[in-house]
Amino acid sequence: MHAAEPPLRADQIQGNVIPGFNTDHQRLVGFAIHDVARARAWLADQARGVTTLAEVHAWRRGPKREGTWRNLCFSYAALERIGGPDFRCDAIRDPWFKRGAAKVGRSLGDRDAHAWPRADVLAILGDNDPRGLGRACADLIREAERHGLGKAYEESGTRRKESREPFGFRDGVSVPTVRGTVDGRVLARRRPAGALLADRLTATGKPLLWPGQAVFGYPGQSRVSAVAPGETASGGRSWMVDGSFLVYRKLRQDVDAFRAFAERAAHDLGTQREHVEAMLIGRWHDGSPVVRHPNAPGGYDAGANDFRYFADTPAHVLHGPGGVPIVVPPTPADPHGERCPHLAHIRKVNPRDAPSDLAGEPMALALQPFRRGIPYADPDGQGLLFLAYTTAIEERFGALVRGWVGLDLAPEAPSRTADAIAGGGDRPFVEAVGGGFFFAPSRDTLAALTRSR
Amino acid sequence: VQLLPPANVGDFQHAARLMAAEWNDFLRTQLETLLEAPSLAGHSFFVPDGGEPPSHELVWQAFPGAIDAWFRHDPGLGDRTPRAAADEAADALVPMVVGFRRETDRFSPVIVYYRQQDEYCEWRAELDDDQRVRRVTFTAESPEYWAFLENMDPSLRLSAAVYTKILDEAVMPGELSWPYDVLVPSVVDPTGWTVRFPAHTYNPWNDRNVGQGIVHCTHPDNTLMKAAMLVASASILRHTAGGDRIDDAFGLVCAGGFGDPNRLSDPAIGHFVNQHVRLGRQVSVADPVGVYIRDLQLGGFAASAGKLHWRCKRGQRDGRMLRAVLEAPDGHIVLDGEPVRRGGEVARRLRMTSAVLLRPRPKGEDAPDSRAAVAGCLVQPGRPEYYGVFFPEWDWRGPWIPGPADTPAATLPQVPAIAPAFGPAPAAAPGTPGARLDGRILHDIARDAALDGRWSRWSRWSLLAGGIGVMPTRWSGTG
Repeated sequence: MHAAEPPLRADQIQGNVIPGFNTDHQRLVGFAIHDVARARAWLADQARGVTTLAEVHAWRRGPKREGTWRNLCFSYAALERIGGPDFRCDAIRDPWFKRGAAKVGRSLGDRDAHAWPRADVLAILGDNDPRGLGRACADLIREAERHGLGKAYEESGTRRKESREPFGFRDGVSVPTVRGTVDGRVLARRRPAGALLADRLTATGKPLLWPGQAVFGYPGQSRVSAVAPGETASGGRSWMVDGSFLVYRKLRQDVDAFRAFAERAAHDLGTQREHVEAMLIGRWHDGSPVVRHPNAPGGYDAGANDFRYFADTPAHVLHGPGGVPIVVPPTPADPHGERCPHLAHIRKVNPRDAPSDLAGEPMALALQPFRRGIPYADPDGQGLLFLAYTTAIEERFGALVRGWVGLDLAPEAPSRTADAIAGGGDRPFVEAVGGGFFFAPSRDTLAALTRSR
Repeated sequence: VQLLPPANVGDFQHAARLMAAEWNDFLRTQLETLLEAPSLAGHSFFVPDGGEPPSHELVWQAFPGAIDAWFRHDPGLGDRTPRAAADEAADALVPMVVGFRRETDRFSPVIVYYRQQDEYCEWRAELDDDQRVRRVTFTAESPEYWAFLENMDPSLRLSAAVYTKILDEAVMPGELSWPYDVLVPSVVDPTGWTVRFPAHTYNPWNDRNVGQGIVHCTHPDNTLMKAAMLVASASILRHTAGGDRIDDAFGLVCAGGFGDPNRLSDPAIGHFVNQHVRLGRQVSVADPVGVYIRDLQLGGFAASAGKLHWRCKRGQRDGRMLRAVLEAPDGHIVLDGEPVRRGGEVARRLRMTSAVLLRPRPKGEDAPDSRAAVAGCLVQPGRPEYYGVFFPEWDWRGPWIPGPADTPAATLPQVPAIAPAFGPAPAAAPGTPGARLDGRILHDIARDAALDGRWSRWSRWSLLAGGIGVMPTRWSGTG
């Protein structure tokens, strides 16, 4: 029996942090602040329109909402300029947030982060209606420019059929869901008590993480237990409570190179290209895990995360939409990477119960951010607008990308290479071509920022 | 099979064959003796005997996880960040009492300094006038090798020659030895004393190794035998009092009482070993037995002027480095565009490695029995992510420790745990009151001197009472 899940201050937390906009269309607009005093006036106006957890949650449970959702985030430099001495930004704990993505780029393996356009303020807009989104975005930019802000960049993301990312895989299969309650009820539907993995997966098979993973002021993941709460996340200043760091990375995906590589490898190995691609990712295009379906896709269902690498998972029955039973077959452990290679992307970024350089499942979970990515396509290519909310950019996100994705022998000792997909190299399949580190404040802090002098 | 010296380092020169054989005997004897320890009943460890299976390289970060855990929720930080406090503490030298020195009319404590960097890697940062790091020297050399050199040549001329080679400065044997006998209380006569370190023998905390330079590890846990003991201990399958199998990293360290759950190395190594024993393997340490510096992730590092050099100075540069240096000869080291102020900032990008051997359990041999937990973990009061390992048979007995003696570990309330010597070194010079005792050292003294359980209680009592200033008077009498 573990501690009760904490009530989430739903009117304070921005809605893309929890539970995530998850709209069909999104825009990211980065602004540079040229005139702080005028920017405050714009922010005061914008702050009133920021979409909170409460609004997104209500919409998901109720009728379709009209209008465009909006979240606002700030770089460290912007917080210092807008917040002034009252905010004491120097006491923020995360070194990477303070240094910024441009300086930290080399540490993350980014080739030219110093040349990326920089934004002080990042606006995230979401809507299922692309025309409405376009109008809202144009209004936002026009008003911002009237108040001494200049547009640094604008990115447009669109969800694809079955949430496929550009390589063709169903994305978000393992995106965590937050533990916590709103109005006395848990945010995400759970498996019935006693069901397999009911203490760590939602009814739809998403991993459950404590809110302090992404939001300050709440318990985060324990470093020694996969299910018990850890300590309350503190960013260093009290005004950071209910806020979250956002790592934004524009990840360009070289689909042609990926396909060509898989084609060549398939030829050499005497198998199909789709099979090679599945081994590189750890899942088939449809999201079914290769550790359970080593020879052919098995279809996506709520059991897509019901497997471990060092422990057998017995056959069990889940209940899908409408109570339809889903029979999940037994999944033997795969400690030696015979079905899911150690270099496979999903095994590199989440080794689950396998022994790792950070010692097992609790830390594997503790490194996971809340991801909110959406595919993009522009004249320079296609890829993912990768958004990850966390309370520790260097300690968790950095450890994940620098320490696991980018290196051999980690997280598992037999892992002889970097991540097969995102591990860099001379001609990487995935490369960051833009981004920044931001802070998504609570609604009260946002209002206080606009009043500060 | 003959076991090689760490990284097959070539210090033996003219007497190479003889000394290599001696090292093999030395190490083999240590490993075989280790396996006789009663605490290792039920292990699946084997001493390398030739025809070894492929090894598995385990890696971990060189910066101490325990120091990060200590400061992560430090109520006394003020506006300092946990990271800054941890980096500062990791670079600090820490005093430790290793015994007593006889003076004309009294006994005075012998205080040495060691580095509280306990991930089998230690470093020394050299700063410029503006307190920016221009060179960091890392070592993974274990003290056993230097004890071996002393065994080979008790005059310490060989040791001094190797020091000279490593430091590139002339080092005399007299600089490496104790100038006086270091005494500890005698087990035979509680009012008497016994010699722990005789005069003119090798002093591993000598100034060339700790003050002016760095040659080998000084932390009491950074030893080859501690690493081997960790692998052997972790090979014991464990279950709770209720019979539930323990297979998580933290639980294994706590239940087995091996290593430190706050470290990065111990839980990672222990978890890997134990999980593979469950899969039917036996384990050992790969030859050449050692813990090594594997690699530095150089991305993000630069020199403020000129070139940045990352060099292997001793050992094998292909991932078995014993000594390595990051240096900006014409300026200072820069990370992510900022000057590096502490050696720990570099250590956070440094990976250590040790290789273990896995072989299938011989056919016909029964699977090892699972053993009950012999220890447990408790949270350090006020520091919710820092844990202490406690052994009921000696940690919870005696009048000074609250808590019933035979209560299972997991059900005990929080009790004061050993305060590690983290934090900047006190301003006081060695020999003055204020230095804190290190419980682990005192336990080692107790074992070395074959003292009875009174020592562990005494050391714990002293720690709780605040240090050497409140030592029981019976131990400070004349010999």
